[in-house]
Amino acid sequence: MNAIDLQELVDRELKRLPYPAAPRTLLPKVLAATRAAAPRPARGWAAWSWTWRMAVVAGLCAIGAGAWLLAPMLQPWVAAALAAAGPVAERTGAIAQRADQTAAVTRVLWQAVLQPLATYLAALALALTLALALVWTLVERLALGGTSQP
Amino acid sequence: MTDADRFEAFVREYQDMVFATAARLLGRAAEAEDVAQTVFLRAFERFDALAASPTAAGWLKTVTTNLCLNHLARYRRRWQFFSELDDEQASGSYAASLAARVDEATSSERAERQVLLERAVRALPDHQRVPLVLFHFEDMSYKEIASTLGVSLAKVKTDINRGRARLKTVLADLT
Repeated sequence: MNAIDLQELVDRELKRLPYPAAPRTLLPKVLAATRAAAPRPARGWAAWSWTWRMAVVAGLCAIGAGAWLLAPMLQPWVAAALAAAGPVAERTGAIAQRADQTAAVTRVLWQAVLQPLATYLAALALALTLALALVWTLVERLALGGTSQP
Repeated sequence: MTDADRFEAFVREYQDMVFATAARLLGRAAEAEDVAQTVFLRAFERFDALAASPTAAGWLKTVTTNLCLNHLARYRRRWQFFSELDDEQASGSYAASLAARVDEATSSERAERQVLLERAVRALPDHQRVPLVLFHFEDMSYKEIASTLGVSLAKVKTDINRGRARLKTVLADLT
């Protein structure tokens, strides 16, 4: 058998070979790896398309211009509404007076009772927060083996 | 159909081709699976362009071939000794998977012949198997192979001929 015959024979035999099947583990591995590698979808203003951004800006401009144009026409209506609300304004004044009195009492109570303790309470809360953060970090590093994967 | 579904269908369609190319070039199923995974990750990065491309299969084969050649150049020498120790075990499981595959479509006698031939290809030394696979499976010319592997044209021809001669003895035993 010469070299050309041998080449043809081997070529024919090799081309008859079927593809060996990929292992069943390949597809799950690839999909898991791609899920881990996929960028998280962007959200918010930066993720909007230019069309949507322009539409929103145009909409806001239209609302502003409309309000500007309609303001003189609405002025008599607003004045009439304020005149009609006279009794309501009196009640509002009484409520404001009571709120003022309540605020004064609260201020006295704060200065007399709570303020001396506030510094100690704040220091205690800070110390507890730091201790909790330290314990959580140690647990995560030692027990969970580092930062968890998303 | 979501992008994830489309990519899964894409992997299903091409996984055998990519794995086969890698397995024949590298000669070992475990290494071939790692390379195939890397190939599909690269495909995922440019899936928008690749999904509808008629040259997707060609792109995948080219990337697989390049990654395999890089892999052989980088790791094979370091791990050759250890790999040879469990070569029999590896080839057994690989051959079993191949046998299961071919048995569906062909007679058991022909399936066995194909398994033995596939094994014989894999058993060739790297310097004979790689150019032979590139020539017969990837349809590259001697010149392209020489250029890809960075060796002389004469060496490529000699190595491929020696590989064919070894396969011929296997084929002769089978007939």
